Amino acid sequence: MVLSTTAIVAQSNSSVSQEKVTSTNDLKKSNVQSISNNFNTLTIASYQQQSQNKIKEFFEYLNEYAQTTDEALSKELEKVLLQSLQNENLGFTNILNPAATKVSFATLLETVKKNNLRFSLFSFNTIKTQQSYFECEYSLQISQMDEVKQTKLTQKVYLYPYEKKFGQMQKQVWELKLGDF
Amino acid sequence: MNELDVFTLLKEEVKRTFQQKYPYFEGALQQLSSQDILNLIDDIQEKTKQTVSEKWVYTHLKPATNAKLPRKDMLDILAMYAGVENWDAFKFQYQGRDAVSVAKVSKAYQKYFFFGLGIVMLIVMSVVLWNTKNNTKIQFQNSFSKDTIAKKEIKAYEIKANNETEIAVEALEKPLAKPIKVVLKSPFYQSKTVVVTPTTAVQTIALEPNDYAMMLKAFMKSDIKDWQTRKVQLQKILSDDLEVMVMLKNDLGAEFFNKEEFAQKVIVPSTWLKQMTIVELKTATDHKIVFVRMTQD
Repeated sequence: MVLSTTAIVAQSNSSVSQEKVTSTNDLKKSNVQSISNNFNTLTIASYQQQSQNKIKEFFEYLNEYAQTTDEALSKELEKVLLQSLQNENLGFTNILNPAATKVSFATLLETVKKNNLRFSLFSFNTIKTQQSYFECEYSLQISQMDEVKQTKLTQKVYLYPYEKKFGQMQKQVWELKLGDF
Repeated sequence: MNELDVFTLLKEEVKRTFQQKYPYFEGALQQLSSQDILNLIDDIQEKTKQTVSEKWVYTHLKPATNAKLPRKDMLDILAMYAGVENWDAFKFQYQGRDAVSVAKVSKAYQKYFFFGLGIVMLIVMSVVLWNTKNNTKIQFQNSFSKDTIAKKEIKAYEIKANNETEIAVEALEKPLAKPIKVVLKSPFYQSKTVVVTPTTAVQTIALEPNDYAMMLKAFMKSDIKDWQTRKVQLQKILSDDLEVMVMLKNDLGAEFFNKEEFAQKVIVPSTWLKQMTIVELKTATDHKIVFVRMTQD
């Protein structure tokens, strides 16, 4: 049975606050680091495409996580899922009850595992490019036993400069990390 | 050949086109999983700017045989996806002109036709043989397994006055006026300097594999099982200073991963990772991999 629901997309209550600036210096720094100031249109399009790949990969890992009964593998999947996120304190739309309060990453995993959920994604669209993130919209099909639901989600994907360590070395790279949905 | 037969051929072409982006999909269209179907729908949309529904794929593409032909507008979309203008153009490739007019060609005309065709083929073969007379055939071989190495994995650089200039590997097979000194490089094999001489004999060049690079290549295409072995091996083959650079589409933009991040991705390889190709790889003195550059297929 297919039910159609439309997610109530709540405003992000992510602990990452990319948009607030409190001084002229912060504003200048923010502009210098902004996506549009650093990349041309074609490159931005490449990063937008990669954002979609990352979101698909996230749900692919969630599918594996839901299915596996191997405790150790579950831990590995948790690590790779967490690694793809901008930070571990993001809030996620409760995919089984979109109208409810957002849930933590841990609760999202618990929900996925407990209900043996299966996800399919389609109809991707980057609807907005802000200073430090893209806003991606997509349709998520959620299968639970014989029931199939569909919901529309909007997710931020952050692109920002970051001093990353490569062993002994450190260099500035542009990081692409998933935000909340 | 009727239209349903032609539709079966079109489905094969659709599968081949799909496998260009998802080479790990094996088997027939009947074996498409729900994720594969979504990937197929996305790929069709990307290439043709038109949509087919999941239900349509289940109804017309997944079944091994079809009782009736789908709607023409859907056939046009599939033909476009397979690289042909539309369904009529695809049909024409197999059914040819009006079968009735073919049947009307008399036996006398057929005799002259085949005679002429024979002459043309003789001429073409002579020209090809003449042109290849002085060509060298080069074959690259794994020095341990003796397996043939795909030329696309090798880059060749002509050495002249201590300078290296990249040349196409195929250029080594064209007629050479004199021997040339070439260094062969690959992410998966040790570099080797050879002298390619003008000869008609097959030249087999054995290259020593870079074991760690071969392991990484295999790991990236693995299924999720055996992840524990992979996890242990990755610690061994990847340097702590590892830098992995993933070139995005059209080489515009890049993502960077350090050892911890990259190892985590290879422990549980995703569809995205399996589509990546290693184009450059560097090792440290302890043979551990210290740099990888990858692009998307």
